[in-house]
Amino acid sequence: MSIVSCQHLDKKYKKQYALKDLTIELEENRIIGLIGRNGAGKTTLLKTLAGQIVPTGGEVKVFGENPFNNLKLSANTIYVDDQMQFSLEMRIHEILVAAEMFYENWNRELADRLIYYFGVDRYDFHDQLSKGMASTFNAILGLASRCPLTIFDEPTTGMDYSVRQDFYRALLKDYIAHPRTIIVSSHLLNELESILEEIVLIKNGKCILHESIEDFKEYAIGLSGDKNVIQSIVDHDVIIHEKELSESQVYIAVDNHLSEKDITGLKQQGVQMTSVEAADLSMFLTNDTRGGIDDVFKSS
Amino acid sequence: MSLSHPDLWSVVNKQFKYKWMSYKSVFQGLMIAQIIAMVFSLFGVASSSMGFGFIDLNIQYITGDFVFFFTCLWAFFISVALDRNENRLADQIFVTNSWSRHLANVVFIVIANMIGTITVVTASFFVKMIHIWIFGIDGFIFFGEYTLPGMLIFFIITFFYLILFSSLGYLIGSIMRQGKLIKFGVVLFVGGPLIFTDNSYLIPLFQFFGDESSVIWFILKILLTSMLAIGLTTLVSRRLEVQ
Repeated sequence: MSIVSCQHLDKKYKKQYALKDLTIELEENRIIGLIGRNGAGKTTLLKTLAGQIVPTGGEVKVFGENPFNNLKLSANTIYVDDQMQFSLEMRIHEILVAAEMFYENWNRELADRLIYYFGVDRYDFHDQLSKGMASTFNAILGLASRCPLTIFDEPTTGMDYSVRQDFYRALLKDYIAHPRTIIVSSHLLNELESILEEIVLIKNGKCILHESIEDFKEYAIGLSGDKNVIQSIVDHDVIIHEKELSESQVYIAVDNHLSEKDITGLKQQGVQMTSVEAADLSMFLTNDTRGGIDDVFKSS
Repeated sequence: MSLSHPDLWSVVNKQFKYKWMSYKSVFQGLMIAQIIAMVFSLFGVASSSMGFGFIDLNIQYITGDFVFFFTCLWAFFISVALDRNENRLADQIFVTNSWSRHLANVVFIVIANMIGTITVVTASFFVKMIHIWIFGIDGFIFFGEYTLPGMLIFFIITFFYLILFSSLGYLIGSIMRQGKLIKFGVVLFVGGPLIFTDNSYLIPLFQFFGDESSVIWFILKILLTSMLAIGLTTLVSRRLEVQ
């Protein structure tokens, strides 16, 4: 069953579009990664799904209903990011009491164990926590609430490496025990890759790709070899990424739709074929820069 | 995972409890406002002196009027701030929509004002007690007569005045949050005249409520005004996104 459906979604802030003609369908009980560069529209999309933002155009349905101002959606969704603003007058243990009151599936034991494990002081106020600790606490809230739609918007901001790894592991374990729809956004795929089932790439407010992670890993291949040889065989339209290795040598990542004939031709000409790492591919596809960083330093 | 289908009133109930936990400063504010008011009151709200030949009669009125006035201000300002962005953000973390939020705010205002009313009444007596402690009974003291129906009316009138100030504050707060320009306009056109004019234009407004001799009509007038203000607030903040 489709839990999230966006049709031609637009969101405009003054003159700039944060989302433009975005169409996407998300199935229930998956872990989905939403990957895009800063400013690609990830937060706007996620906040729209969480009912916090009204789109300027198009249609959005979550659990089959319009999410804005919707009590049913609010009861079944939690949106976690590093900007969560808790009451300045509540201590951590009071926030946990409130969370238990509001969320039907709240698991106190899990919350307590995670709080203990990560060393969050229950008597601190939320704004007294360090950036990393605040993110950790927010993530714990997201996990323990066990909402049918759990949204983590860049949840690991400020967390150190080992905490990030622990968080992703906790997320995966809890998801396996209690399957639900979890959307995790990030500008990088690297650390997320191992826990995701699906990946959605977003660029300039549009969904440019939505694949299962297995298909995504096969999505492209890398070719390195003579520039002229590759360019003569490979159609320019399928090039995802291009990097000059030397005057004559080049590395090109292309759509994995080359014909047998092209592949044989390339191999005969000494072009090396390698798989493209999913993390690299997501970076190539969402890249918004012109050329490579090396081009900036090239003397004209 | 099965979906939960919350009903509005259970969410309002939970949100009220949440607000009760998270707005502790509201009651600290009440205490501070009333302590300041009591200090003012100790010096007498009004006094009159008369001379009869060799007798000078100095009458000092000790009442809780200052406490009442300060508590009205408290009721107004807490309500202006109640639905501010920070609080809406904190609401939004958990289960809410605009209806449940406004209803929970109204419940909070009513309960807070009940506490405000009780403290106004007790503080009024407290002021008189302290006055006797400090200045002693060195003159004749005339106490007003306190009857049960009289006290009940005192409670009711105080409570509904606080409700009136709160609902107006709630409306003004929501209008101010519509944009920076509107906020500036409200300060200029509402705050400005209050400070820089003799406020004679407010007299009919005060007369509308204050000159009402029937308690029932007084309550009805305030209830209608408050409902109108809160209705307008929900309308004004209908499409407000939390940012």
